[in-house]
Amino acid sequence: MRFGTEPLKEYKKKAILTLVLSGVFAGALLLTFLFRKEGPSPSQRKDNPSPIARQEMKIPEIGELSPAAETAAKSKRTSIIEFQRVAEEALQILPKKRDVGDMRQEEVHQTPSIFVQKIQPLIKINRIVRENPELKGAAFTFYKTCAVREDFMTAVRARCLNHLRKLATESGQSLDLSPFPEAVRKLSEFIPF
Amino acid sequence: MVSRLFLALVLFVPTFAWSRNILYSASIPRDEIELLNTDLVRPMDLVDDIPDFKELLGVGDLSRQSLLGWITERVGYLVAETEDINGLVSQKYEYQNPGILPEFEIPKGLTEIPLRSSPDHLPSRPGVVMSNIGVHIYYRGKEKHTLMDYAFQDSLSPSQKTLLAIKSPRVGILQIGKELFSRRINEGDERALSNSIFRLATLFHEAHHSDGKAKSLGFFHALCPKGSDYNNINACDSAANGPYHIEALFIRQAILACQLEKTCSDDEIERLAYIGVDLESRVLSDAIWDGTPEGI
Repeated sequence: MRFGTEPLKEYKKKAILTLVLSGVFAGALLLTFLFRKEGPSPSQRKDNPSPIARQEMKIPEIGELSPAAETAAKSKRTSIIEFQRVAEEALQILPKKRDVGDMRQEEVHQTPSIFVQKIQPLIKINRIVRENPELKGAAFTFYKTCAVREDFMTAVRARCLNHLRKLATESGQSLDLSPFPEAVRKLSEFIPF
Repeated sequence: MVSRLFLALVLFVPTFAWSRNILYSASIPRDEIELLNTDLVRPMDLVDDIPDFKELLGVGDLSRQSLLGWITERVGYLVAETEDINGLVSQKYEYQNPGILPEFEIPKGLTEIPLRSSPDHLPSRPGVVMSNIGVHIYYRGKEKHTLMDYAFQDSLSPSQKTLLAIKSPRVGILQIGKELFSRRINEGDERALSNSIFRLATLFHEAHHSDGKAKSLGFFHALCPKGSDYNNINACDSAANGPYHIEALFIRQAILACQLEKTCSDDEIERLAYIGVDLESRVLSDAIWDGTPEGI
């Protein structure tokens, strides 16, 4: 039987444990409170996330390439491998017929603004070719691939064919137009280069 | 008095004696009015390399004065997207070409014609870039053999409303939306030439809806056929001289001027070119419709 000092020791142990636990709990509460006070309000968080959150939440803008391809597109000197990366991504982003989907009458009455954003990769390709004439051969392949894609919006195909014709003219080559439908050929001539 | 005179000078676009001043509704914000006036008066020499655009418009040259004259024959009033755009029933009226109205194609899967192409449902919801509501009101009146009025509140005298009798689509009432200003060719500068080209091209398109008579009244848009980009949407033209071709040609001539004078960047030119080609791709035939206006 352990009577006498034994219950007192137990009591002390429990008291110390309770104090420690209370301290930890209070500390946690205090920290939570402090973070809530210093952090932005929910509405602020939505519009203005912290730099870390912004990095984690980074969603590419419409028509924007991946960071690596974006760097290549912005660089004055672009290698053939970098160009191919930009070109591959461009083919994925450029406006497609399926994008019209369930667009409302109001959205398509004029050229949908999302399509004007989505042709950004084509603009970047054009820029790369202007700054890196040695890539004209690779660009030729890109424009041709783009102009024959049946799932692309006709206007995209026509613009690609327009650039293809321009490259062919500049290099004195004749261009076989048989792979391109009549509508695309005709529209590619609508705006002279 | 002086401030009122100044306001009048700012808001009026100088035009010729045979045309008129475009009036802005009090519902349009001042900055939008000023921007549109800047577009209308800015020097812009379009390249005159082919006769197509001149012939379509029926003008002798592509000078700013000729183009402005063409627009003001068809556009008299601009109202905001927030405005109640339903006309007011006035009185019984004998219309020209009675009983002869354009035919509308209803998209498959729908029981009625959607907004914008429909004369029965006026496009009063947000999202509109620009819409010719004058022709819609005229159509409704003609269909019901009733003259319709539109209560216009001039930005110069916002305390009073003027009743416009819609006896012809040429009264020219256009509704403009925020989208007209938020859609940018040049993101950084809303006054950039390329942005003006986009807004003016839209204005040419909508102005042309004031033309036509009987079956061609309003040059309403056709249903895009199966296999086309905008399949089963009223976003095409059955007429070769319809609003899409006119808009596309304006963009074409403006791009050529940009290229010649180096007044737009290559990026801006590509965006404009894409829009121009997209609009041109919606022209379905070579048929020329009668552009004579009705009711004047």
